[in-house]
Amino acid sequence: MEHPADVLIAQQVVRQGARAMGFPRAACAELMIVASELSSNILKYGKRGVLRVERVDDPARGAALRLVAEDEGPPFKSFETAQIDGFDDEGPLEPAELIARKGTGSGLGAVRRMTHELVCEPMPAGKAVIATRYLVAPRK
Amino acid sequence: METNDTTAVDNIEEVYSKIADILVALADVGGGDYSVRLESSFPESHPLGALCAGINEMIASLGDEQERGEKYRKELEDKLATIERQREAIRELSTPIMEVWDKILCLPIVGVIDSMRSAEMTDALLRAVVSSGAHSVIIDITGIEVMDTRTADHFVRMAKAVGLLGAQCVLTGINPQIAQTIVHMGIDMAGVRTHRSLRDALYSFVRPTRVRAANVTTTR
Repeated sequence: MEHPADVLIAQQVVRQGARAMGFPRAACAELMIVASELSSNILKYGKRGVLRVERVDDPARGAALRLVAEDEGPPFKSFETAQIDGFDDEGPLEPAELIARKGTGSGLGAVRRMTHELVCEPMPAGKAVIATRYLVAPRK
Repeated sequence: METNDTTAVDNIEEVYSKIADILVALADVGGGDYSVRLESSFPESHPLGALCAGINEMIASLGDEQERGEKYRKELEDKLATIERQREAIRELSTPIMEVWDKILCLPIVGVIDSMRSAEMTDALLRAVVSSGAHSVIIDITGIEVMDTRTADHFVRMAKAVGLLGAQCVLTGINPQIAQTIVHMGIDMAGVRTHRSLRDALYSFVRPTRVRAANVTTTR
């Protein structure tokens, strides 16, 4: 992830992967949105990073597509707060701040809504945001 | 004995001057001139002669390498320039705002729409409304399959913001899934007009002016 065009490449990679796994059309489109949100976040805040797309097979929950966004940016002060629409990891964002950041503050919220699991793990140099969407929605 | 000594001294002087030549040549190479070659009176069997030949070879291959590196660098620069142009093109393509009729702007949206793109679009559209003095804007989302709830909300807000600028905004091509998203969110659609298709919206804007024009001609 170095360039705005890489977001488009990430979308295509995810679409191919999701289609190959048999996700329905709408789910593929949603996963593409997830891919763009995660990759734009890397470009905006992560300094440097990669987006990994992998298939996981959970014995209990079945097949899933997992997007791992690794970057070298600072850790989230609060990952839960960052997922609230219009908030960053510290709290609500002012309208002027949103315009300056070219966003709506709802990227991670969208990722949470369109995937089944969303976690953040610390890494030796930075962090990894891991979003997983199962082929069959797991029961809560 | 004596003659031997003088040849040795001669040789030493010759060796010194050769070393000086070598140093000068190396300095030239260091400065970026790869055309220098050492001329040696010593045969190749002599250590100094071999050294000169070796250095000549080294300079030649360095020169080749340099040339190749220069070529690669140029190619890379060309590629970077291309990427920069493509980047520009992508940015423009992501929000194509066009004036489809007199003072009527159209924003056809295709592809994946995420939070960043929707924010950029709002920014670009509001600027375009002001700079073009448009009275109507049609946002066509036929090309969008799925939208996050928050992004859908953002679109409705964008339509209202256009209204604040004194232009009317119409959303067209909303598919059933996005319609459900909007309804589920309980987004207030008051003040936002929608049309089934871009064609319908355009027709509704263009027809009243035609009728008015027709009336003018009949009353004359």
